[in-house]
Amino acid sequence: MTHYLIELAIWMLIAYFIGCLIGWALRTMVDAPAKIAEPVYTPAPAPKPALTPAPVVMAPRPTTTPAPATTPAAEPMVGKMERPKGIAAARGGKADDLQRISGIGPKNESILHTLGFFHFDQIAAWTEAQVSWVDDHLRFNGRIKREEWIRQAGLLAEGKEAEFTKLYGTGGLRNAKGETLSGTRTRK
Amino acid sequence: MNEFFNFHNSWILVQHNWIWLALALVLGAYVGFTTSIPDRNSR
Repeated sequence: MTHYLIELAIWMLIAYFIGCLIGWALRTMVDAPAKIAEPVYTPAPAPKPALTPAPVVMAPRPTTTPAPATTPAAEPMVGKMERPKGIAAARGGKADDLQRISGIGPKNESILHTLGFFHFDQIAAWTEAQVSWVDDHLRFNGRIKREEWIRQAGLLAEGKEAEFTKLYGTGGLRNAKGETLSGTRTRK
Repeated sequence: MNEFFNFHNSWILVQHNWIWLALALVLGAYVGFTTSIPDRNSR
């Protein structure tokens, strides 16, 4: 009886692992088209003209409980994405060291190069819609905003090293011996 | 027949307990599917 149970358990284990492989293969197949597919391009809405102060009409306030205010975060992201335009190659054949931006490592730098971004000023120029597109395309779940890539890129593009170092550390700079300086990729 | 791992009657065992094996297969597929999220967030 014990042998029977052990053998059955072994078969079940084998079946489980085969199932794992099938599940993994299915996931790979399901995800493959998503990687190739480009997000739907929807042009960003045209900027609204300057607001003119409208006459304020004071209406008596209803005594009922006010409706919950809608927050911008609750708005759907569809229609607010725009693919930023990249360039075919780095200007002057020399790309900026994008890894200086805290949050960008070798892998992300390579992806950004593939998308046509080689310079800090390119990243600094991304609009909200473009940040959303890159974030969605790379499935970063808001990392670009959280890690303030735009601000970091802006500081680096403008050469504001002191301010950058103060806020974001040394950004991967190395000393003459090739040692990474302290504070790398750490925010103060 | 006294060997510990004797798969002599394996086919009969599989036939009689296919439902458990199928369940294990489905469970494995579910676990494999849900846990194999491609890592696209690594730096």
